[in-house]
Amino acid sequence: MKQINVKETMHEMLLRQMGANVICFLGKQCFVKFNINGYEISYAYNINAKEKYFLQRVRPYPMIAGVFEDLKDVVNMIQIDVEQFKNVIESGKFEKFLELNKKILDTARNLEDLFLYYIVDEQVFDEISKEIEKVREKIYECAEPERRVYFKKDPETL
Amino acid sequence: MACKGVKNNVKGEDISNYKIYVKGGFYMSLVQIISIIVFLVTFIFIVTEKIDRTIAAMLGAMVLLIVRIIDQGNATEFIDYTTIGVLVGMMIVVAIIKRTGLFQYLAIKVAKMVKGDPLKIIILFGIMTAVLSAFLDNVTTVLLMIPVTLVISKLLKISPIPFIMAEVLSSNIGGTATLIGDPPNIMIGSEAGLGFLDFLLNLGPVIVVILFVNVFLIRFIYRKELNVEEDLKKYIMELEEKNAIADKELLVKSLTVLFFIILGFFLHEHLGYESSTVALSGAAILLLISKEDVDEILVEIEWPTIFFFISLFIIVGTLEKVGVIKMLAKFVIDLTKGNLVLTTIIILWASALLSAFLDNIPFVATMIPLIKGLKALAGVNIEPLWWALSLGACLGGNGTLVGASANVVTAGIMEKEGYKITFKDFIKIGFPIMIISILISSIYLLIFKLR
Repeated sequence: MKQINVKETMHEMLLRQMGANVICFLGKQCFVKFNINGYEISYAYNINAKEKYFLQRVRPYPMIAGVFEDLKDVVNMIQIDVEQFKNVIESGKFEKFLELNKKILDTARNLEDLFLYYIVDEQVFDEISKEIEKVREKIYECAEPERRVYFKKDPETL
Repeated sequence: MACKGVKNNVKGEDISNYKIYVKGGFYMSLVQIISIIVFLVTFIFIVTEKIDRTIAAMLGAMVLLIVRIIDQGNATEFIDYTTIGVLVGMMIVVAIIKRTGLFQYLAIKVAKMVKGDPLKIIILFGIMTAVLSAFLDNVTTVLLMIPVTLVISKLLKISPIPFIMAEVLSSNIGGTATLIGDPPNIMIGSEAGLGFLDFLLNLGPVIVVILFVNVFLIRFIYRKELNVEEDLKKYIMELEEKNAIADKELLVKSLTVLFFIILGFFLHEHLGYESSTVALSGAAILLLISKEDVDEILVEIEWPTIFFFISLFIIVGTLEKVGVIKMLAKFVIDLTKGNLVLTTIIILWASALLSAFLDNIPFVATMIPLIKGLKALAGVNIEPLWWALSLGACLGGNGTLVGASANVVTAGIMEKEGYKITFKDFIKIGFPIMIISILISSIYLLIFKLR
């Protein structure tokens, strides 16, 4: 505990010197792990007195699941997520889905590096945007109502 | 003698007051022998750190209750609520003040004041730690100083060890100057009826001398390691102390309450209040006006320390109740023939040497009833003995790495930060400084308290 406090104070001091507003509060960090047919599905979330719960999926790929006001919503969210992963895993197409997802995540990182480390012409923005739109259109096309298999919760983006 | 458990033998006879011949003409009762065994076993566990010191002390106290050498009523009587109250009260106050960024502000201000010169920073950080330590617990003070010291030494690209050594030794020295600076003083003050001003007036002057000798000696020892290029000092000047203040409103509230707490410590004897009343009142008011989450603040109290004290009070209280302390006092009087000067010097040096290797809290907890016993038996003026005990027990902690909690905590944290302070490293600097401190204390006591 003492070691954590010293580290926290050190980092807080450095961040404040950079001009940041740092708020530290006491809480508990929870790691949740499932094993579905040999695949690890895991989550991390925090519990604190401020009634805000940050949920993040850690595996099979990281994704912020959101900030929740109620701990019940965190459990519901995990339950739905696990059920959906179970379906995908049982469909036998999970490896392909993971591969595709990894490509998308890597592409997002590539894009960030491109704009953070290089001078990029404005025209490139438009070209990349067009290509991304094509991928999104393909996704929308495939999401036909009659092919939907999960109904406990509506898709958030489709 | 309340002794319902250790009472009957197989024939149903009361054996608790049976006198057993020990050695050299000494007779002891069974309860005395059991109490001594419990005390010694607990002490061995605390010293060897085979199990956590709080668990060791709690087990010792519980054994005394289970075998019914004492009952619940006795145990409650033995706990010194003044010591517990001061500790808890000040821990709450520090937990809140810490959130304001005040200590980082002060450290940055001090480092900038001397234009980032490490040879001057080491002296000022040492003095700053000692002053803070006079009003806060030593461990808390070093925990407040370590993060900012690590940041500053990283900016200067030098080892933080010289600064940290200056701070940890100064924290043990500074804590000696006041009633609330070090737990042994809180215990002594409470049991001997000595107030905040008594400590400050009687120990303050000698502590100022010892502190200056200490910081200048450390600076001399580490002078070669404290040379940095001029360019690096600019990083210190770039630090903005105002950025360190996290909550201005809370800072104003905290400083106002702290001012009244310190004023309260100065006046508590005149007003007829215990020092714990001052600390706990300040803590309660600050909790109210700070609007900080009570749960979060109370979690920061060092509960293991509080339970350690409670358990020790029960163990030592039992030794006193069953008459072991009185026997020890008689032994000391026989040894010193009631000579106050000799007794004072023996207490000072023995406390220092023992505290350099042992936890000074159980040692002081045992010595307090012993000194009170000396007064009762020999009728001498025991005030110099209290000062000798305080100086010896507090300053003795600087002798070795295990001599004080602040040393152990600092070494643990520094090791995790990648800077190992070994027992040998510490003793090379700490032990000579401790001996010099005790020599200065001896001269001070002989000239001002024993003439």
